[in-house]
Amino acid sequence: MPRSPSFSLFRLFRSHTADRTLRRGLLLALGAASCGAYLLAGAALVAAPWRLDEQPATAGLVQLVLVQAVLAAGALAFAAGLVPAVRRAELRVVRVLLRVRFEPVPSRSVRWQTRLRAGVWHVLHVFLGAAVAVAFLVTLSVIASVPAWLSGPAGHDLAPWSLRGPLDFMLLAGTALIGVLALGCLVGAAGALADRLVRPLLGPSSAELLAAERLIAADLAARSRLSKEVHDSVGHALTVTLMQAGGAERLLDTDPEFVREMLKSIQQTSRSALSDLDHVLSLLKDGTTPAPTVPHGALTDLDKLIGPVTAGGLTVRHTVIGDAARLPAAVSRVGYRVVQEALTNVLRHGGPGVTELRVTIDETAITIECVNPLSTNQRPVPPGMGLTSMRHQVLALGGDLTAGAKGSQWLLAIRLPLAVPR
Amino acid sequence: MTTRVVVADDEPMIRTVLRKILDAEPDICVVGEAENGRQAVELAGRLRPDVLLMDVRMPELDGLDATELILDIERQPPRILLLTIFDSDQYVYRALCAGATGFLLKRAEPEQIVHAVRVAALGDTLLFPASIRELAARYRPRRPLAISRQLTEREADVLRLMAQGLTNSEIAERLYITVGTVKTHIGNLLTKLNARDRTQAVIAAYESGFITPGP
Repeated sequence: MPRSPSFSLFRLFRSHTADRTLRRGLLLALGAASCGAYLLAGAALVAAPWRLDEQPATAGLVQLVLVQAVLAAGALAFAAGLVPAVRRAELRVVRVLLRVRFEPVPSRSVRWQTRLRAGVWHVLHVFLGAAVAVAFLVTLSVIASVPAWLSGPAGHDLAPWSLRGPLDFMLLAGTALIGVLALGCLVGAAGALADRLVRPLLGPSSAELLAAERLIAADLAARSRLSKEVHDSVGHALTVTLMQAGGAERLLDTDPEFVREMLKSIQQTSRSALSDLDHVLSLLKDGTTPAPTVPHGALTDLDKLIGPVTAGGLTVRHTVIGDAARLPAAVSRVGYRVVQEALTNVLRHGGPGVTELRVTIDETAITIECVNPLSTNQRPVPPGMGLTSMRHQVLALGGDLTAGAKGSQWLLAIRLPLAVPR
Repeated sequence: MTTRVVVADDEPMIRTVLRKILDAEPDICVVGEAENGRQAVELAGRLRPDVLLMDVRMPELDGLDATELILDIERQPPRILLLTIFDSDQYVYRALCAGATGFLLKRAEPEQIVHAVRVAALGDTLLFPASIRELAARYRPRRPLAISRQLTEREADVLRLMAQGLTNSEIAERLYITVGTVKTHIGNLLTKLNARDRTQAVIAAYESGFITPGP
């Protein structure tokens, strides 16, 4: 079936081009509106010294003031473009109206060069809009003057009903159509120019892109670390329990003692895998990344912690009562981090003397106490991020943490239940 | 005759379970346990087991390097079965190329583990022909060899049936020849392909394009 011309015109109206022109038109209209505001402010700035009300307003003077007002508006627009909030607003506008989306760049690190480019873009946006708005007004006035022109030099009546015949009406309609098409082309061209310039002027610089890339890479690394952690702990635990269950089933009739042992061990392995899972899932929920420095520290590796701080000049007397190897993995890991943080703090803020570290593991809980002499320098140190994050980790496992001065000593104590809270 | 097995895994619990499962069989006996690759190499030399059941990931020396080392040093090496947690591991293919007899997933059922040890000890059939086909399809040939020109027609037939996982007696039945003749053919084709065992021969057949892995 052949398409009718009106149908294709309808398609043109709804087409991608029309949609894009409309969006570009909106962008320019926004620019024009802002330009109006800047022009008013600029005019107010430059007109005040001239005292126009006292001087005769000659054509030359008006022209001069107008030029100065335009220049002042440009300067104002440029200054506004330097403001980061304006740049962010522009970014949002071009995302919607030009469908240009830039890689997200942390806004805190926006450099001066980027702000200068944003200023240039803002000026361009505003004045392109203004230019198109002026063209729009001119076109309107041309169309409106057609009836006057048709009715001859004597006609004062500008209303369309002064048209006298179909020919006149067609002339008016033709002019209007040409005007609208010309405006569309102008909007298209101005929009194309904006399209070309938006990337170099508003986009992130290569340094910012690099910084963003680094962030993304760090995020990916953290994710892969997490997935490796799940893989290593949970995958491994599932495999072991599966083998234990298989072996137990096979020897059910012949070796009940072995079966009992396996069942016990299955519970233990599953429990520790669950607490590992809790740990990883809580990291995922917080969006925080696991500490890359100590991926698998456990309390059995206490010597690894004490060795370096002793080398760093600290005297540590430590006692461990109970079997650290028996601890659930998550508890052991948090305990390790607590000791690590405590010793680091002593190294950083503590006074001279012996640091006592006591780890006690009983049937239900683990207690870690770290006591060290206060610094003679009495300046109180505000609790840092280390202590806060430590407290969160301890609370997450159902334990509690106390820290504070006690006489001339600083005491840090935590208690963690061995059973994982449900 | 009992099959003597050495179990190597860094996880004590897995060693215990494997030992229990295998020792419960009348014809299988675990004669030693190793907790890393270095110990596995040492036990393979000292205890001369028929089968070495070994984890791929181990401290000090991993299962792959241990496999290569044992097959290099020992004149009569044990059949080596590698244990992995996850299937479709590229290590598996490397291990098989290096001369491991087969691999086992740790999630396999105890019956499968026992069966694999028995089959590996006998050595007259290929373990996991389907997996080897898949792996060969994934890690495409690197060394084109004109196998068809090296082998006689009969040897080529035997190689094809071997790749399908048939035992010596099944091959003998298919080709209307005796088991002794099958063994002679296999011995000859292993020499010609410079392969240590059936697995290596079949991998060579895939890699040369003599057999195509198919979809």
